[in-house]
Amino acid sequence: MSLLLEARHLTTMLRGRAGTVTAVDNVSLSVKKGRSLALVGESGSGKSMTCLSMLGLLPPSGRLVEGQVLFKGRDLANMPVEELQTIRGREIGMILQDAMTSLNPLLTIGDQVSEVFRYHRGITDAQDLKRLSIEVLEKVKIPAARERLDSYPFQFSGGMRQRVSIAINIALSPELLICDEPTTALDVTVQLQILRLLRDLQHSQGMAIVFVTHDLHLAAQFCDDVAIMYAGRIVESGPIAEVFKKPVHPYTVGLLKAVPSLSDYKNRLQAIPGQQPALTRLPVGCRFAERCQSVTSRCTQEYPDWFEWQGLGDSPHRVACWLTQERLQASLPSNEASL
Amino acid sequence: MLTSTRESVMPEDKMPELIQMPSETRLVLQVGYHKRRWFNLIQLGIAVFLGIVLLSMALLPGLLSPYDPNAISLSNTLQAPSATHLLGTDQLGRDMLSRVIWGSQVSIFVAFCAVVLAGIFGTLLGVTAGYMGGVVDSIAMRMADIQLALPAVILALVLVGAIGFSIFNLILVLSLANWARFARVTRSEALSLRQRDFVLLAHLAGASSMRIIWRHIVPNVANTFIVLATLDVGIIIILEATLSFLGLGVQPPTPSWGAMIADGRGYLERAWWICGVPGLVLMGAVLSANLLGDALRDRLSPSMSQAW
Amino acid sequence: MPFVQVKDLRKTYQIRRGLFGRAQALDAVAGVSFELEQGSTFGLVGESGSGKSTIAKLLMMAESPSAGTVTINGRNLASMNEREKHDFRKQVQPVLQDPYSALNPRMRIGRIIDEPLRIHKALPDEAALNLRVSELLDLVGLPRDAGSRFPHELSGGQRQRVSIARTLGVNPSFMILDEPVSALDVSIQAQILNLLKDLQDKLKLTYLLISHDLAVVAYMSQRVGVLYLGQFMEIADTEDIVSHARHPYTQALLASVNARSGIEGTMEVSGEIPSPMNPPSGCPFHPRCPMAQERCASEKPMLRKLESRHWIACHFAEEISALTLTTGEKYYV
Repeated sequence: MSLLLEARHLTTMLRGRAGTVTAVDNVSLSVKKGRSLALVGESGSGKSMTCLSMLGLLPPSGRLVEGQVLFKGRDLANMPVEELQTIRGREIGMILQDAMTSLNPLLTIGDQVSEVFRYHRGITDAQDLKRLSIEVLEKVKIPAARERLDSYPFQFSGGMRQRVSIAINIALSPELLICDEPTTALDVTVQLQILRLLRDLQHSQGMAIVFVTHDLHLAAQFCDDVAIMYAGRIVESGPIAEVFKKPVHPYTVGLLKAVPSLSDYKNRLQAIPGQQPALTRLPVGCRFAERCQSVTSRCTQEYPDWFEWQGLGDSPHRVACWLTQERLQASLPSNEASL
Repeated sequence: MLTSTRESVMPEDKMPELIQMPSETRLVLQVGYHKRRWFNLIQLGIAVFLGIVLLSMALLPGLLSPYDPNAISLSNTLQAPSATHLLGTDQLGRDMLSRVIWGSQVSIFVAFCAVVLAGIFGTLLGVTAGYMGGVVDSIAMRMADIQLALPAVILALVLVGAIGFSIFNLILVLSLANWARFARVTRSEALSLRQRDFVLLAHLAGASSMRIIWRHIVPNVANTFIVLATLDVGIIIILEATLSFLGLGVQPPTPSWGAMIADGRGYLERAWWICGVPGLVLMGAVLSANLLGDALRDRLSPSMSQAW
Repeated sequence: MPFVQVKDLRKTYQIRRGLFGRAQALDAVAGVSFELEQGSTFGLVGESGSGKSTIAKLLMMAESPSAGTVTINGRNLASMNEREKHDFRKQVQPVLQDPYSALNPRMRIGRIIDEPLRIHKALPDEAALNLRVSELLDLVGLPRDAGSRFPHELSGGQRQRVSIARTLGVNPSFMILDEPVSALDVSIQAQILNLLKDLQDKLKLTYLLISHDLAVVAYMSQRVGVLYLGQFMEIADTEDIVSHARHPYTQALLASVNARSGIEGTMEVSGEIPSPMNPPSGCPFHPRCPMAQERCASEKPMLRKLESRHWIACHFAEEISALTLTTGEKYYV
């Protein structure tokens, strides 16, 4: 299976009031055609920044200082802005958490949806635009789409607005859709609708999805692969079923044990002590060391290398942890490959 | 184990706003971002420098002033700026530099007192009105409306006519002409603070309104107050100069910038410096106050004063 | 006699739309009754518009009900005068959702924590107050020197601990937890939930827990009530709600909560929650319910006893558990 998107060694620096921090530190990830990757982490882990870095949408105080973003072979990170703009919106879509801020409150839904066609395909005929807009709104299951074209965003509920946002982004059948917490602000029963919609669209349009979330269970329900981020770095990645059934990185293990779940609500949750280090004061060595139950002296001195092995899924399972590396090296002598 | 979040960088949840900008705008801002910081620093430098100069003049006039500001010398009238009289002399031979230095004492002292008085009164009224709402709010805001509707000059005329000239009366007039600005702004701050959880929790814990206003609302409008007050200084200085210009403010023989400008009106062609010098100094004072206020506002702006 | 008893609680707001619109009634809480045993946790689950936050406000005495009674520890809230209410506030303490808004940014932590004590003049002097603050900081797992810090120096989880410490100072017996962990990072949520559980055991506290997250509610509560548009759809012990839920809405909530939960929820409800200002006729859930019949649109089901300790508001509750849930998708018109 070919790699649709491959980010290599992305490093993004952010300039803040108290100095410069590395919000994204040597992050590499890949997305295969038609598959979905969950980017899971807590706030401050760098997951949103990674997406912004990949698409060249960093704020003025941020800069991608290193790395490549290969989309179908072309490097987005070193591309002129005009070229990037033709790719963004047409071949890559991005959906944000709050649809209310990504929709222009002063334009009708019809105007905003048809803008995509006008800008990227140069279609100007009003009838054509109307027809295409209705088609796309029906694809995201907005009822009475024809009548709704003249409505404004404030007349829609949260779930509907998110559908419109999705419509705008999938209108040109992009090959990749990046979703940054698209369901967090929605009611639980609506979340499921939106997720199912995304999954249906994924299958029908053969779209790859990068799904940023802090909700592990949501990721499990929805995505094929997962990359877990902590303090700016990826600590574990691989096929989601495997990573969640047999997690190896202590952070992943801790996270899975700390999240309340309906199948296991009677047992005491095992909280991870302490908190994520501030990006301005990152420790030398593994960033999770101070909270880790199985920390060794090597962990506090050297940042762990990647260790990769072939698990049960078709993608490799990778982890950045010394202890895991030692343990697995002992049991899988023939399968190792360090990156 | 407690980490300081003050040092942490822009939180992730601020990012999405910036995505809607077209890339051209972002490029401009990207360039502007670094240049702007330099520009701000220069502005601050100017403000501080001018401020120090003016404050020295106001606090130590005897030390800095080369001559007696009221010393008349009819043989030296209308001298252009020279080595002996750095800023020239006026129509009565009085040294301009000395007059300006002594004048600053009055102007700055009066402005400072008026701002503090107006500020304290306006703020207390404003936060009470904002927090309590209802009748208290209505009454306070109508009073503020009246104040805003009356031009300061008319107010001064009436008051001076009624109670006569004096520095204290001048300060009183300037305060009365100015407090509504504070009341309005702090009222809206109080309105938004009222919605914050910690105010609700204090109320639920049984705190009286007085306690809430004093301990919870007032400390949180302090930053706004400081910014407003600093920006207000410039306005009051000009107001005082206006009143003195019209003869309603500081009375001779006390030198005052406004009165000096009034004096120099008849000599604009022959001796521009009689108007020009106090005018420029006035500009400098207002500029300094405004730049300082801007810098303070940037530093103490809401996103930082909440400091979360 | 249950520790907390709520009978037919109602709260109606008059909302005026626009400058000249007439006031319209919004029934945020439309007749709610439930009970809490001392030392237990009752979980209120609901989405937006369910009225759960309003119920919290009514029990915290932040607002007064339009109708109905609330009895806490034998005292009827409505029958107390101002003086009594002021004293009673010591017994009922809230913990709110947003740790960033709950602390006065200009006050030091120590003062924030002892403020309720000062208001109620509970302790004689500064020394006693300082001692109590140290005790409380220990109780919630914060270091002693936290007392001299300012809120902005603390993280979200630490701030929430401060909020909890503040409530404990006056020795409450009943705590209302309104989404206490929703605004916190996932790995911190467990810390705070465990802290709350430990405090409950240690201090014999009774909790009313409000959350949209069913997993959190299941973890903390012995009994769960499911709210929709201001009314209970189902009330039962946690075990029954999680494994034997009968109401279609409860089942939909369970279905929405995730794969790893192990429950194969295949049912999806269509449409969105209607505005509380325009509630549907009859059963409030009927427009979205895949099992709705004619009777559901015309007749509102009352909350009735299905089994011991299991109450439900649905005409067809008996038939539902026998039905296999199938994936249904209905366009919401």
